[in-house]
Amino acid sequence: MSKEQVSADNCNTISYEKRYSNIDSSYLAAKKAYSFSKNYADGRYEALNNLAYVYYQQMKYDHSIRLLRKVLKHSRNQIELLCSDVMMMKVMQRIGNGYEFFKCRNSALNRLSRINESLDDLTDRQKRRVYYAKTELHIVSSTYYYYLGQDSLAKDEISSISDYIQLYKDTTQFLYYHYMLGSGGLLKGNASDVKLQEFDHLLLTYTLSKAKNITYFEANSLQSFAEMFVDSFSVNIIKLYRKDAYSYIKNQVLYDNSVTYSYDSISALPLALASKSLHLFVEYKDLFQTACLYRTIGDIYFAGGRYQQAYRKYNTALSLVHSQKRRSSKSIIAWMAGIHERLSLSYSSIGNKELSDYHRNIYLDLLDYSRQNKELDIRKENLSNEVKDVHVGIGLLILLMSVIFVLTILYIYRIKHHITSQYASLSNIRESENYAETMKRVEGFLETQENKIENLTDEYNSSELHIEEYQNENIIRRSKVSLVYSIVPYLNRILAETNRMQSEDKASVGRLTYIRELIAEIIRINGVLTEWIKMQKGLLSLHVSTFPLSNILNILKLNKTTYEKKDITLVVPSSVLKVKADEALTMFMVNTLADNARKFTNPGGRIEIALESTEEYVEISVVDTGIGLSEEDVDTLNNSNVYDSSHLGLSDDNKGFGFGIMNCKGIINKYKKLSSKFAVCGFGVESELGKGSRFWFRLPRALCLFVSLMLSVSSFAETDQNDSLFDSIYIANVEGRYDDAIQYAERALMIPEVQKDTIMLVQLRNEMAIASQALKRWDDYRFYNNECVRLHWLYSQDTSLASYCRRMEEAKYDSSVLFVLLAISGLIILCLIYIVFLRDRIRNKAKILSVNDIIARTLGNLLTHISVLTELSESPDVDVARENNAFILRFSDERDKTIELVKDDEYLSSLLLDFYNGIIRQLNRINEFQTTISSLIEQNDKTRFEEDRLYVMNQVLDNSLSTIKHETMYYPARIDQIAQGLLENTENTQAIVELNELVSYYKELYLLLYEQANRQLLQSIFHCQKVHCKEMVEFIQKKVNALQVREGRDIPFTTSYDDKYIYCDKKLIEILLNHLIQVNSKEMQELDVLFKSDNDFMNIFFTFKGVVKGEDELANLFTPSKDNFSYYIIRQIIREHDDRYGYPGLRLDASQNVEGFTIHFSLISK
Amino acid sequence: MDKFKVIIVEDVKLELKGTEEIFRHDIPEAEIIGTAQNESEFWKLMRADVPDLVLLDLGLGGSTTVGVDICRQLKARYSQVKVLVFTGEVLNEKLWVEVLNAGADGIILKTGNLLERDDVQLVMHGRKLVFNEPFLEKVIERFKRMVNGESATSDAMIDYEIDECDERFLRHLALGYTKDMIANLRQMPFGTKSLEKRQADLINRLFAPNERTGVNAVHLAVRAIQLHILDPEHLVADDE
Repeated sequence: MSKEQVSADNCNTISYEKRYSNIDSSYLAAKKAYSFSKNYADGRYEALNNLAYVYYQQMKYDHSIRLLRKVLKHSRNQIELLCSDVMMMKVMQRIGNGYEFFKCRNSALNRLSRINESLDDLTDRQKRRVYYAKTELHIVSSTYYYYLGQDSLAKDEISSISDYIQLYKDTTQFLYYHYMLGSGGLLKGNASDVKLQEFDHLLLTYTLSKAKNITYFEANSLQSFAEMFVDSFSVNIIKLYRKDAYSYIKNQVLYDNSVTYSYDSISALPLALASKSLHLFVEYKDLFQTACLYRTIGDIYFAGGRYQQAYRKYNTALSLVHSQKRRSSKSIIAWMAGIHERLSLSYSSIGNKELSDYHRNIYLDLLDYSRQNKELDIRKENLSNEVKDVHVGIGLLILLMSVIFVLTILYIYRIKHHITSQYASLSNIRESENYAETMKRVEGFLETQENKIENLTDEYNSSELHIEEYQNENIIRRSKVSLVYSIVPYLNRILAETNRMQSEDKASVGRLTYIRELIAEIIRINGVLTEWIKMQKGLLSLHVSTFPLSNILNILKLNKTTYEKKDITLVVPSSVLKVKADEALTMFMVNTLADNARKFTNPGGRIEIALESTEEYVEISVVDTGIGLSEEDVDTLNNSNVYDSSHLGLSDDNKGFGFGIMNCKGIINKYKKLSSKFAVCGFGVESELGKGSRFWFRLPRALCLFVSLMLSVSSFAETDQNDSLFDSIYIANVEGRYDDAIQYAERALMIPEVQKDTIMLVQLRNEMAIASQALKRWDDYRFYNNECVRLHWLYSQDTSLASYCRRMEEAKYDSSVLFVLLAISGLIILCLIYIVFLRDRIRNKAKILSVNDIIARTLGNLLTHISVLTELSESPDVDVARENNAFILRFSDERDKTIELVKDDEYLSSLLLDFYNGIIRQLNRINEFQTTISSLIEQNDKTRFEEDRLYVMNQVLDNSLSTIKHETMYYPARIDQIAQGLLENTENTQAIVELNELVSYYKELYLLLYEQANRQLLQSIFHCQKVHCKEMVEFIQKKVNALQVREGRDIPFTTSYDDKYIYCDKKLIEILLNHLIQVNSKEMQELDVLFKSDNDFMNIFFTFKGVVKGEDELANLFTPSKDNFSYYIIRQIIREHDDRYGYPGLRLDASQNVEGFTIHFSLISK
Repeated sequence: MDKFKVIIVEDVKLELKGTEEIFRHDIPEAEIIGTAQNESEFWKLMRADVPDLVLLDLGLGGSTTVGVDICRQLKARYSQVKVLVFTGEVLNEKLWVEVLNAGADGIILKTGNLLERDDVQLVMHGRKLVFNEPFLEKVIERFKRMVNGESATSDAMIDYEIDECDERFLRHLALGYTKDMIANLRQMPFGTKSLEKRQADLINRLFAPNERTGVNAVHLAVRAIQLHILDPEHLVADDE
């Protein structure tokens, strides 16, 4: 051994021993050792290992790794290689690279077992090196597992060296071992025992390191004491059982000048310990541990409730690490995640939710980033792919060689059957699995399309049904409105009479009697109206459902251009709020209010839809910067049920609110009447002249979260619902309803589906952690957060990967060798065979193979295409057919090209042609379906629009009718009373004037309300159609048949009709026929229907044999009375036709003859 | 007024009573030779005795507009008989036009003072187009609106300085003519180029500065209609 070698060894030893007490000396010694060992490889590599350690402590992980790689690459000294591996493990553990960690660990364990075989031949110095490496390996592994949360593995690792640790007198490793045990989490037993043991280990570490001046462990053990003493449980136990030792530790800081210690606070001792430790680490120049200490101090402040100081310390720690990060690309992600979590917590405590959320997000991102299995998974996959490749390669090689063997024997035979076999594979395309699979997908897609068609058809049918129902309802309402109007002539008569009396200045008995007769008739008709309204009540209820307001807001947004045209800005918010109400009516209300606002806002103005919500209701308001309303107008709008809207408003040009506001109010009242749940409903106006108005209404807010939760609990089979449930929790958190969030989450945890879903659980726990953090329930927070992190690791970690990787690597190496050997020999033989007799044959084969390839690719393309179509068909606005057509074109191209390839071969050509055309046929079917679907969608949109329109119209009519009923009931009786009074004293001119005024007022009010109702009727419900007489006869036949079944008797039906068409609204006429048959169903014995055309008219005669009507009854059949409702509706339907065709004078009359009762009506027939 | 015979067609008994009363009180010259509640009763009466005047309600029983047809037939068969329509359809302007087309001599709306002696007298003296005051009020209101619309047209011509050529140009644009076609019109002294200039000039006149971008011929023509420069009811092309 040369002198330089000895110096190098000595320097290395110094560097090694000083590494925990003075990092600078260790560095210098290592440098020196390196310079001494220019010709001494082992010494050089040992020096490099020592240097790597120094860089590690200085957080220069890049440097460290570079040096270690150098050793691993160049050194042949197994011991130094082992040390490098272990050191590398240490670095990888710190920067959280699990894959590299395991790679080094595997390699280290391999080396260790090899070294162990020849342990006896080693020198003492070498043995010490091995001992160091071995203990370090287990300690580092234990640390690794500990941070991974796999406590049992960590404990196993550390205990595997417990017997071993004292064998060699290596103080630093001895300290390291005890420090590990003392710092927590690695001992088994009950809590207080463990605490005491840990304390003992730490005490040992502390006293020994202090005595030996090993700063690193002195500082570390002080830090651990600090952490331990934060916990009052530990402090109490230690005070009780280790009284002296405790006061010893206390004295350590008490008499230390560098540390300020105060007695007044519980956290004073831990703080003092921590600051002493900090002081030592700063001296020792360990950046990482310094940062850790700031964190620990932060923790202590946090535990003491001093959140301001806590987050400052955390920030200091973070900035320390960041400053290091600038020097090294490798970073300690997991550690930083911890800091961010703490920052999130402390910001949350001081109420800074924004920063808290910010840090929590970083925390979760970092956690996610540190999911090592990502990398490991990729490596695993790569490795297994590589191994598989090698295996496949070997397999292929073997196959090739046997093929060669077979070839040489069966050469002639093969040539003969070569093409035939390829043919077979082609002609069996249709039997191939690939083909079947693809076609199954195509069929599947077609099936979904078919289902869609079916659904749409169902939807359409149900819409149609609704429309029919609503149209029926509508015609009934129209009849009622016409009934309302039927008293107007009487009113006019009365008014004429009172006018005359007033001008004659005296009442006449004749006139008064006539007035009273008229009033009696009015009262009678009012009674009929009341009766009819009562009869129909409940038939058309509100469609109350829970729906998101966004549905309505989005439609409103589409309207923006209408407002922009008038240079008005329309502001529509977005919202997740849900309300419980009638969607169509809500839409109607918002639209009405917004339209009104537009009408009264000048260009350049602004209309805003605003939402405000409480727990009970959502207030939707339309705010404009328009011309506004006077105080009186506001008062009228808010407090009167009836008013003449045309008198409201500012100037003559801008008068007239229409009936919209009145209708909106009516709808709100309707809700209120429906159920006490709608008690929160309301409607109101606020306005100031010249400044603008705010019209608002309130609807009950739907407890959407709870509803969706209940849904999930009751039918938890669907993950969609789980997702929506999770969304509810998330929204609760976002909206700051933390208690709700925790409540929902706890309910969600009871759902079995959720319990099985790890990702869902992680998210749930995260949301719960956020909620409890905001509520400052720290214990809950810790529990939820730990659960969240634990599950996260569980979800993302697979420790068996490590050993798997190792096995893979071995297998790969062995296989590779084999592969190379086989490949070389195979290649040579292959070349020979190819050159000698395969070249031409292969060319032939290639052609067919390429056809096979093309087909496989075609099928693959088809599969992709179907997937694309499936996806496209999900969204409504995409033209699937166009996409499909484009594909068919490409597909046809491909067909032509492929067939061109085999054009010499007739059999193959026709085979391929069949194959391609079959697929094209299926693809064309998709297009056919698509056409049906899009036309159905269009149709559905139309019917749904119609449905909504009719529905709203009916509702509004209902409101108008009930207003008429309520607001005008009083007047006839009063008029009658005055008339009666006048009869007794005909000279009372005062009463005549009063009577006249009252009648005028009554008429005016009545006409106003009538006009409101009639306004709705201006929207036509008429759909002009051409219907053949035969169709009507068939309809009647069907109705009669049904009637026979219901009545349980025979009703003979005779008919004759001209071969002509009738122009009418088919549905309305069907309603008419229905009423006609229905109203006579009980009495009729036989039915005769005659369709007889007369010029431009079709006269239809319904003779109900066996039905007898009196003369009076006949005369009054179409006047309103309780029993004539159906005839009144029939009259209205004929009237609608009359109106539509420009009043050609259509007939509707009734007559009685010997045979029975005949209803005759006429319709247009050209 | 000489004595004359009248048939009252009215399906509501109570109303009939009031109408008879009016005749009795105010028009004693009238001899009510019959009253009909429905179509067939009416024709039966007509066959028995032809009156001088028929007071016709438009709606009878279920047939709400049968009066229109009755009037038509009546005028065809008995042209000398005067028909005065007496109706409660006070809002249905379209129906009035129909019944006038059917040959009615006048329309009395069942509102205001109802049937007045003067009106009946006018009809009996051979006056056509006899209407009572409420009817005339409504007609005049309409008439005023229409006239106002027309005067708006001449105002617009002055406000926007529209000359004859501008009007012709705009009118033909509204009718869908291209500028080439307009340039070829006999009374159009401009070529296509100057028409384009004129169009730009018109856009400047008819649109506010912030509205001018992207205005094409269709916009321009529509704006001309909105501003009453063009009357959509008189959109006729000139000779080519």
